[in-house]
Amino acid sequence: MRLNEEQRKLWADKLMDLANIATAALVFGQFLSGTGFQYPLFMAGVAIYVVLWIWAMVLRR
Amino acid sequence: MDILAWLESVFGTRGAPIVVFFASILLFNLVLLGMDEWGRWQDRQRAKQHPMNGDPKLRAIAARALGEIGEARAIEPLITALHDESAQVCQAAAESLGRLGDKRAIEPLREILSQNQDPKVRIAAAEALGRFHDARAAESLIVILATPPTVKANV
Repeated sequence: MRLNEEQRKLWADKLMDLANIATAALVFGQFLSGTGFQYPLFMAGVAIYVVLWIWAMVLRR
Repeated sequence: MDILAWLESVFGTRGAPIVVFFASILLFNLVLLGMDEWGRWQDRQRAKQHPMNGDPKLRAIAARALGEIGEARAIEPLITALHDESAQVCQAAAESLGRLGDKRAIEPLREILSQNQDPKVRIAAAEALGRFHDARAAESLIVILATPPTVKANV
């Protein structure tokens, strides 16, 4: 499989969207659920955001 | 099963499925990225093994094309191409460097203008230097202009 530059750019954009959704669900979603703050979930949200952000940068290079 | 139990103990019964969902997406994307990188690596290998790679005409076309694209990354390869064994490639590289107008090319072009034996390459270097609004480029061109006709005939 070989993606062209346009496809890689689109993919990178979608990964950033996904990173934002993951952060919203795992970090900010906790404050709305009413079940209390869970540190592991918060860390998972941050880690997924960082990984996806790096990934998007790699695809845009 | 043990992994799921561990995830539930760490992230809770409601958090674990969400983490698994995002982890699956990450894994899927990792596979896609790996396939794409593998395809690129195969393309590079094929390009290296192409029989036309040693053709000076193709290298000259590549040097001209780099000048047209105007990408800053092209400067270093073009400076290297100034010392190519083929005069055709040197000429194309000099023309492209003049077109790109990057100051890093001034010294290599001056060197080519004073040392290269091929008249066409020296003419291309002189024309390229003429595009720079730089005192060093002007200095080299003044020396060429002031050279006696017997020596100047080689330029």
